[in-house]
Amino acid sequence: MAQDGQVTVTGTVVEAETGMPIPGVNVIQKNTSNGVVTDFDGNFSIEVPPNTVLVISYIGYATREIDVDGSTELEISLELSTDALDEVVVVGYGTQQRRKVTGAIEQVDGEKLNETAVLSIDIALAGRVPGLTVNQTNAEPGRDEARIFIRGIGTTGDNSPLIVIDGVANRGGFSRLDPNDIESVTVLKDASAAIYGAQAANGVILVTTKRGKEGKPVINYSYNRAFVSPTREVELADAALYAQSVNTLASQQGQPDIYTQDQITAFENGTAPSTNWFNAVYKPNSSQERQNLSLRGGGEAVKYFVSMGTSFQDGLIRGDETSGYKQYNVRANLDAQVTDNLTFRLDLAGRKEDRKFLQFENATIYSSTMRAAPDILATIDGLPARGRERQNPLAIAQGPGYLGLESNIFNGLIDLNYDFPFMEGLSIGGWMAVDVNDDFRKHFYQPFTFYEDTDGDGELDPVKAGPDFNNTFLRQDNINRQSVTYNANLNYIKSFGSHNLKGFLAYEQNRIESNDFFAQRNGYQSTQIDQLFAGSANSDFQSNSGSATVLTRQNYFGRVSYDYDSKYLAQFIFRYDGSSIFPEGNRFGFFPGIEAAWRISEESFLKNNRIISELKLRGSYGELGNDRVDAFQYLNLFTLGGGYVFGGSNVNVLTPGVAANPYITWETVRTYNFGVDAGFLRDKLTFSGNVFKQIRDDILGPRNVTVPNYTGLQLPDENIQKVENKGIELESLFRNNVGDLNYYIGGNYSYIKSEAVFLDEGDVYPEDYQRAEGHPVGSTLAYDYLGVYRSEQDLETYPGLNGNARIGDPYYRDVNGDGDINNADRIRIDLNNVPQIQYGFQLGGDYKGLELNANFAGQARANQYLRYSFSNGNNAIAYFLENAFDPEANPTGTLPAFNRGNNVLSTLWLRDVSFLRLKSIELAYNLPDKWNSRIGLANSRISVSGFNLITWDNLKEDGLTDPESVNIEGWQYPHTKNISIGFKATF
Amino acid sequence: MMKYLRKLNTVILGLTTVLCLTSCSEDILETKPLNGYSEVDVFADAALLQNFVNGTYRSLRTPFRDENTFTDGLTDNAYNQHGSAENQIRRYTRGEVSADNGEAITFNLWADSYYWIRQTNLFFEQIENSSIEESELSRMKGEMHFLRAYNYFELLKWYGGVPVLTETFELGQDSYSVERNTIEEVVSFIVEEANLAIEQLPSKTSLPGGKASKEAALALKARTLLYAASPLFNEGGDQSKWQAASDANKAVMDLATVSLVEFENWDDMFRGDVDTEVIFERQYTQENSQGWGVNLWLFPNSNGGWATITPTQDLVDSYELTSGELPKESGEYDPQNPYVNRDPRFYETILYNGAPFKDGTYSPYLDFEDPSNSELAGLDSRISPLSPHNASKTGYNFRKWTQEHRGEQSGNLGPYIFYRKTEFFLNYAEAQIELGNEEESRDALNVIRQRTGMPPITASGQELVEKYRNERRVEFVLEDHRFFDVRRWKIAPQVLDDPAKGVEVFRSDSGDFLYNYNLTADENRTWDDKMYFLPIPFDEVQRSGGTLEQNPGY
Repeated sequence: MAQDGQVTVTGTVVEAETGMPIPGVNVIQKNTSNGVVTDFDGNFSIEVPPNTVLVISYIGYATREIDVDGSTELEISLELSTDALDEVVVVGYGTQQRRKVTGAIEQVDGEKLNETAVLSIDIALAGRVPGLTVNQTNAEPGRDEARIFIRGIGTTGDNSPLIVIDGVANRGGFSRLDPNDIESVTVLKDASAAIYGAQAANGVILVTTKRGKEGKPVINYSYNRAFVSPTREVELADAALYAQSVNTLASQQGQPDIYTQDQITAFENGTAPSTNWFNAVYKPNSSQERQNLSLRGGGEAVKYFVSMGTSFQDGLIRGDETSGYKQYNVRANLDAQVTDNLTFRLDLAGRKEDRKFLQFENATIYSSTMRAAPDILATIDGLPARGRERQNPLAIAQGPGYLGLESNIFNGLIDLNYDFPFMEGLSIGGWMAVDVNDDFRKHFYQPFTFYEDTDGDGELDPVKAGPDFNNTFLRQDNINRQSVTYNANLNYIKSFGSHNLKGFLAYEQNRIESNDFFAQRNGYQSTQIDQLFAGSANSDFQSNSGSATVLTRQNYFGRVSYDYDSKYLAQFIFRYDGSSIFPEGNRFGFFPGIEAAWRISEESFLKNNRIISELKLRGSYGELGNDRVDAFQYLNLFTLGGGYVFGGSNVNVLTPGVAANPYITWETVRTYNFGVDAGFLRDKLTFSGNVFKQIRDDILGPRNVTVPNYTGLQLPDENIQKVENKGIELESLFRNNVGDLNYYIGGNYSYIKSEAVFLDEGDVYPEDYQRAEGHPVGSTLAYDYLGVYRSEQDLETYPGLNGNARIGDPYYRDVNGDGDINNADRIRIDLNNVPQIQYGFQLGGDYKGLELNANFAGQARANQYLRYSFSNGNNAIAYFLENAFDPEANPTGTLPAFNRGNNVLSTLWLRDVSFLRLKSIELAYNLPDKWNSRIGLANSRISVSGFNLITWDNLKEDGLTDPESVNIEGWQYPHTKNISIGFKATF
Repeated sequence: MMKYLRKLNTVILGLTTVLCLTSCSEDILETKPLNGYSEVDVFADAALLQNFVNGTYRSLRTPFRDENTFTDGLTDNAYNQHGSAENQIRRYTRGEVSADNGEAITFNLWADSYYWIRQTNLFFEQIENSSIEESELSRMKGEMHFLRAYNYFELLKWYGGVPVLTETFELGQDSYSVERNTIEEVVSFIVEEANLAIEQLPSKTSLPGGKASKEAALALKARTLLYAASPLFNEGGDQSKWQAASDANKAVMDLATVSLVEFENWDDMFRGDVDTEVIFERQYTQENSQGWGVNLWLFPNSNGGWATITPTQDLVDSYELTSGELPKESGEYDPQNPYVNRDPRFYETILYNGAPFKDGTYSPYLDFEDPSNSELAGLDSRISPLSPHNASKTGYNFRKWTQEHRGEQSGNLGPYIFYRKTEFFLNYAEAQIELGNEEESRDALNVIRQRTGMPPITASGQELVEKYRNERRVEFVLEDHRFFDVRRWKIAPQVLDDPAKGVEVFRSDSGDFLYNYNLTADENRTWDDKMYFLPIPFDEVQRSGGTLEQNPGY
């Protein structure tokens, strides 16, 4: 029954290509919330005014608007939207349509990287790709790159993946690219990486930058400002706890009290000051900013993308105007269609990265904060006080010294491609890339000033601390690295009926040359001028040196892809790689990959199935190499260095390196992958899964067990170790729309575990259960902590470590049951700070210009050693002091007495660093068109986002460090989170 | 495959010459290292070979190499704090030494020594048919014989008999098994090597300081023979070994090219300012100093030092009064005014309450009325307003080896002295006691006593032995002797089983001091007879295939 002026419109929605009805389609009266969804047979019924417009939309199809125009029965057909099917995946030396991919390849849209406001953009990959471990182990501005592994740890050697930017390997600097310039990031996890041969064993990350698009020029401007703060405050002991603990420790050592009860009481009731050094040194927040301006457009002949960006971040230490990170980047990507057959491409990118740090090692600065006694002041009258060992970070931060790292980076590429007119599908191409990195390092090491009343007149006096005159210095290093790559390729693409063929053959060579030198002068009388000439004129106080390296590679490779009707797919990849790292005769290796896939959903029995829209089985096998080892290991080398003194003068000294290994070669991994890709309800719901196994042979390692030290041989690494790595990866994504609300929810999970198969362990362990073989790479030996000796009875019950035990010591499990606790009782600990399980989920959506995106990243089965050291003058985290057992002061303490057992690795100090983190969340509003046109913009968007805002983990409750920290005592720059505001405009 | 690819390559290459220009070539993979020399060059070129020999001097291990490497901290002389002391030194002095942690106190002596021994063996193998002139080679040979002997002596001191290896091993040998040689065999090898060095090396008068000389080789041989005659290494009590020790030490004692310093220069010697007495040392410069430096480790807290190693009360008590009596024997000694009229070496070796140091005074005291008031406490006290954890835990600091005129962080720029002439007077005296010639012994001993300004020793029998041992102790503080002396004399159970003690000083309002001797720095020192030698590292025994026999007790 129609209401006033309303009519009931019924209809059926079908797929245009097949005429099949589509269930679940949204049918909405335009500009209202009045809507219905089609039933299983594609039918709907809706009450609307007679002359309205219906919006018909469904994920995977092009949205249509239908003018009802008085009709009450409609037959609506929807065209498949081409986006989803024609999505292009970068595969290394080419691209493939998503549906034709046969390997384990993941691709992240560049836009996603922009959701996280961080200057090291690799961090933004965390949680987004199954099998990709992304941990930020340090948050210091400029040193905050993520630690990335593809499919975990597969070797005892170098596990870092190969990173390829716009087709050129080893360019470096991925983390410092401007996210506004990035089109996509692709991860090759299996045999598909074989196209990178001897460098591909740890997987490959392909980064593609944006290129020009046909259309009128579009200017984009974006601005983002973030407020960065520590993820958490490490809960250091306050003065009362500290003083009490110092006394307890002294009494345990048979020494008298250091603090009187009166003093402790004064600390407790606040009449004597207690310094919270964490808060005294670190600001609640620092700032970070990124801006980008780009122009994109083009005609038929020339397309262009040009962009320029700046970013900066400053440090968290109060009063520190030295440290920080600044970046400027420019890029111009041009494509020209010179003639019908000839294309020309030119990419130019430049980047300037300026890093400044304080003059001391990080360990000095951060441990001076964490260890400073809380009964000493951080500042007096606002001026930095002495601090721990005259190393108050506040004083260091205000001093004239610094460490500056300036990098100027140029990446250029020129590419020509010619389509042969006489043979369709055949083309030839060649490109040359030049990458230059100029690093300029400047370390000015100078005294700094703290304040105290040295002469007792009640006035503060400046006191110089840090290096004395002879040890002040300025050191400048120049490191110039250049890499030149040439590539020539022959390509063929052709379809014969249902047979589709695509392939290429290529030759590539690369030479990387690095030159460095430094000069240093000591003895700076003044800090006014930080230049070499201002140092000592005495030549004993001047030094310089320089060196160089050259690395070359020569490669032949190709790929053939074949499919029958997009149903049966196969691909063969090979690479024949030569490298100057290895001796002549041993330089070249052959790396094949083979992949096959069957798209069951294209078979007649599944084609046009209403539920299953895509079902693909994939399998691959490949042999990949890892050549990331030091060059010239096949030679006996003697290097100058070390130095010695005769008659008061330095003399040259030659020191032999490790013995030569004339047989050295690369590691080889055999990788097997089996995968499934599925889509349901026209890909509204997608699922993808992989199981894989990698067997890596010829890993370089020393024969540490079979060759004794008394031979005096500095053993070379030999290709003897073997590691297996297995895992499973799952991911799923559900996208839907309800009226104007589009939303998605997706998740991924991976469990990856390595096993050291052979490490040449011989009989070196007293007990078989101590062998590293059979355990994951990176396993350690540790005593199994059971408890604390609390009584004489405990001392009699449990044997002591190496026969010694006192009340308050930890006791350990007698694993071999021989009545003694010694090194034979250590057990293998499999977990370390590279997680075996990682997962992530993403959810979000948009509604009428409002957008929300959230990314959660989590990890499990990961451990980190976290321990402390404490003494009079060295504070520790409150948790450790509060819980340290003492028969009188703290008889219920759950940890051993102060410092007991913290010099041996035991399960006592092992902490579970599983976590789930709201890695990023972004709320954005796209301004309505009418507002935009009023201010002369095409589009504009304002956003608020957060990074690392919420973390669930097991360390927080004990006041310990961030779970991503890998410093065993927490002496590290605090991990950070941020909240940012952003603005984007398109002209 | 390769052939086919090459052909293909040529085709593609031809088509892209424009891009490739001239840089594509077949020998692109031929590169050479730009940061070092190959072994062929090194052993054929006299200058490079000398550089290699120079490098082998880096095997000389001094207590300046790192924090906590003075062996006195493992004896009744001193107490170590900080860093590895908490772990390694304390673990050792508690008797918790085992086959897998013994190397912690030597900082991997076993592996290091054999690493350097291999360099010397490689040298002798490679120069066999060398084209380098014999005149140029001969001195280098002497240096390498000396260094090989030095390294074997280090091993002998710590482990007893060790495998004497004179040839290099190859990679990929079927077996690397070796057996330990006896102490006698190691000693005779060291003596042989030292004799070759004595033959081939010139006198130190013609050499720059720090170079191995004929005198250095004589000294090495003399010390080795003294050790070899001592009870720990001479289980049968073979008197002829004492005779050999006596002769070798007499030879060094009688050297005309080195002479004892006057006592007024005794302290300058340890700062590197006077070297007449020095037979062999390792020198340092700004660029070639190791670690943070001895000043930082030894300086008191008031001067920015770490007080890493500090004297015990037991050491302080071993300094005689100027009368020649020990405090415990003397009626004149006043424990409440303890630092007057002591052996002059006391004042040059130890910083005690009231000792002048740099621009100030060493002040470890607490206020008598209010011992917890850090305002009234001395800057070197354990509640110092400076860095209390860097305060001495014994109430004393060391002065010896410090370079007072330099800052605390100036590296170790003074030399470390391995052999100086005084030692050989004392070594000779020891041998003469054992040979029953007390008169001869006292004469040698009294040369040193007289130089110091202490009254001559007249004692005999066991009393003479005690006097001699005490003389050696106070003369050689922080010179790497005490640790080995108490072992080779086998008196460790008597001296290394006691807590490390210090003194607590209080200052009254009137400025008087009160000394309390009940302060304990380390209660848990234990001696176990297995500690006479270090264990052979566990891994090494395993790797030898079981042919290396472990030392007793491990």
